[in-house]
Amino acid sequence: MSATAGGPFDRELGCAIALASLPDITPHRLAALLHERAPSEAWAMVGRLGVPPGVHEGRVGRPHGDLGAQWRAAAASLDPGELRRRHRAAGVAVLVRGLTAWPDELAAVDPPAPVLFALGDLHALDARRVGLVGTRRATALGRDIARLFGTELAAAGVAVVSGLAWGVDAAAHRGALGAGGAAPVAVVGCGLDVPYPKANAELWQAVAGVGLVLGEHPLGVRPHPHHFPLRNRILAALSELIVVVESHARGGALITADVALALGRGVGAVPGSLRNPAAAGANALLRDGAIPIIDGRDILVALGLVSGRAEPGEPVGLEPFEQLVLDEMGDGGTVDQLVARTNGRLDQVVAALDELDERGLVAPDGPHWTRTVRSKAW
Amino acid sequence: MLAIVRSATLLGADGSPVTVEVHVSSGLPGFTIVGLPDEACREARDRVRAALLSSELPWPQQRVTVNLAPSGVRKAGSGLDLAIAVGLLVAQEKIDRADVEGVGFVGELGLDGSVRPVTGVVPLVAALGARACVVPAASVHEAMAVARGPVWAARTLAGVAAALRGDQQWPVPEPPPPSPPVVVPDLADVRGQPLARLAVEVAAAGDHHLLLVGPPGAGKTMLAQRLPGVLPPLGREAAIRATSIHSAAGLPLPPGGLMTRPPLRAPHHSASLVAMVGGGSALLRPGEVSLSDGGVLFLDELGEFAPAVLDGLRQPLEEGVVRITRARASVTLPARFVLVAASNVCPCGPAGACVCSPVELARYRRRLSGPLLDRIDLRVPVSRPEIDDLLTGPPGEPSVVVAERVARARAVAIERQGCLNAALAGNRLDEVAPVSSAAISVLRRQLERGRLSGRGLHRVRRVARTLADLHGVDTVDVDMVRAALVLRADVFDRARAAA
Repeated sequence: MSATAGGPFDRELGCAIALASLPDITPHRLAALLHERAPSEAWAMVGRLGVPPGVHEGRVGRPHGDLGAQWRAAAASLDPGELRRRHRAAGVAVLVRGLTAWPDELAAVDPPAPVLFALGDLHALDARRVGLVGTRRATALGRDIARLFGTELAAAGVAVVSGLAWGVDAAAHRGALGAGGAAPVAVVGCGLDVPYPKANAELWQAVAGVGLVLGEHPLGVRPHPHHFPLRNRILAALSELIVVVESHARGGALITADVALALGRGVGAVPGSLRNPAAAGANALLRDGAIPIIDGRDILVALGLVSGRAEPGEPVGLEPFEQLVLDEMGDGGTVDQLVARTNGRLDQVVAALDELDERGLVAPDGPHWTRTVRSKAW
Repeated sequence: MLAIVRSATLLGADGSPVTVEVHVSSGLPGFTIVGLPDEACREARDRVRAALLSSELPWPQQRVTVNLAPSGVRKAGSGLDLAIAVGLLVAQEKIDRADVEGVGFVGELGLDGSVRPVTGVVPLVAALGARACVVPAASVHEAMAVARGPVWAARTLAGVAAALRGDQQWPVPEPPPPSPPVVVPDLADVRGQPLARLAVEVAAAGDHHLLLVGPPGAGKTMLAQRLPGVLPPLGREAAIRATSIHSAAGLPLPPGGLMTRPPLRAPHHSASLVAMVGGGSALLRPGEVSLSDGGVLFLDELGEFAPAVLDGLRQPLEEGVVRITRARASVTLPARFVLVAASNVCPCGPAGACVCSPVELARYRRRLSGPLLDRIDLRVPVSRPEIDDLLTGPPGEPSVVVAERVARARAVAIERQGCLNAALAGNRLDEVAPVSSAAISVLRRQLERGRLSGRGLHRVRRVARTLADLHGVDTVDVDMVRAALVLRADVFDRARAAA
């Protein structure tokens, strides 16, 4: 008998999707619904009783009236078989705890995540995994670092786990994809057919193409601000080590780090300038005892994949003025600022920047020139 | 009796000759004007009658018909008053027909018989093509700048009649008041900011459009105001064109009549499409793009302009003219200018920390991108001047020195290729802007790293050509290419906006 024809197993998966599609469903409620019940049993109970005993109604404010009535209405209108077909057609796999393959690392997360949706290759989870997280409002240098770490980890066979958001997340995934090594894993806060942010849609497809995109939401669910902190608990649980590349004094990356600590995962942070507000969160983590990550090798050391310090980089023969420009660059500067800081002429500075750019030691980011990660050894 | 007198009417920035035919015949007393007059023109009836009576000149108690030929052209405004009044006097044989033969008249009449100035005297006089013209006394100097024959000043209708009859001399026009020393803002006031200064110089030398991006207080407006000061003075043809346009728009002209300095127009970002490109139903008044012809159009807060207004800039930027078409008429106005646009880095335009979200930033920057940005060769970040430059830095190079280099570079470009570098077609670059092999390898690297597109390459080569002209060398070398690359930087910090 074909699996598409709606056998009992498919029926269970369809019911799991239907449960995850109920109005005002939360991870807590979903877990309570599936507590020691098969999805089809839970679905039948929702149809009969609305909110079955043991499922809390009161955890969230209920301005819209009776949750039970809404669930009964939803049970009447949602068709588990149809939901299952739609997900299958979109290439989205449904992972149900206790029923299908399901990442055991998530056993301890609170609230639990009994139903997951996956796009891509589940074997991406076979590799060792490190979360690279950080602010959406990253600096050029922050994104450069995230990209570099992404590349180094993937090349070393470590899967990069991140959130496909702006800034650090996207840069980390780009780096990982570029390396052609271990496939990246993304954990997102919306339905798998709703790439968010839209500008990252292509990246989203690329990650799903070679790696895995995971989420808790059925198709069509739009991103919502409260999804993201919840998404972070899964991201943290799937990672052996969370590395905060750049974070403001408050931000989602710090939530992820907190969850990771609670789950007993390692937390590392990349130190930044005192004057860089986008480094404040990472620096605070370091003060609290996070592992300092000053190059990609430090991450591999923390994983026990390699030991010992990296060799210092080869010194390069820079002209004195080029070295001066590099030294004066600090956290970055415009051409005008560099002219003032070096007391040079415009054409000298322009020429020096071009030489340094050719060696890959500096790079333009909009109007600003910044040192690349490669240049920090000198 | 029939009298024929020459005058002209205004359409866009051009005059168009009008023949005023006045016919006085027996019949019931009445006064009709035919030949497509607009409202102000039709009202000439009442002004002319009152002016004649106040001047103790005879009003015919007969049937009067005034025809304005050619009748297909819309006649606008009150500039035909004087010609109609003179025609009436000729038709009543109070002035000899021979005395007005070949003389053109422009002026509005007051009810007391005085002759008042009208807008557009310069293009009107240019269109008259008369052996002599009579214009309001206040407009004599601007009229002389374009007239082919003598220009006679008209103060009152009675005076005009007496002078035409030969009873009186034409009043001697007062010499133009000494021009007040023109205060052109000087580049010496700009301390530091070497890149922005270079951009202004290159913009002036090659007519390259310029976008300045920086936080408030960085000096974007200051830099833009100094661009006209390094442009060469207008040549005679350009000066007459600029004077005509300003005259047609009713804007004040310099005391000598002729505009010799390149204009600077800086419309506010609330400007409407009509204010920007010109138009309006009757007059087709020139807009800001035409008023800045031969000079600089400065758009501060580029992103705040209405998208339709920015779209309207595309034709002038591409063709150097703007064509305005209305139901009754269409005109082509000159609109060749250097565009200087300024923008904040982000919509909140903060002094300190920016509070814009990545999405807001992306939206703001999208408004500035696209076809308009594509036409801007120079894109330069402007940061606040360094404190040391402000306090103890030496003053910058003065405008006169820069203007000299600019004038030389412009002359070289015109000599070589017949146009300024910004107008160079891509397929002529190899011929007129050869690049040294070292410079080619710099360009190749930028192309390989995906920082430069094919179109961007052409812009860089044009700007590098201008830089080479400023240096007085034939072949574009590596320094010029590097500088040209820096002058078209991606002005927005992508750190915040893109993933």
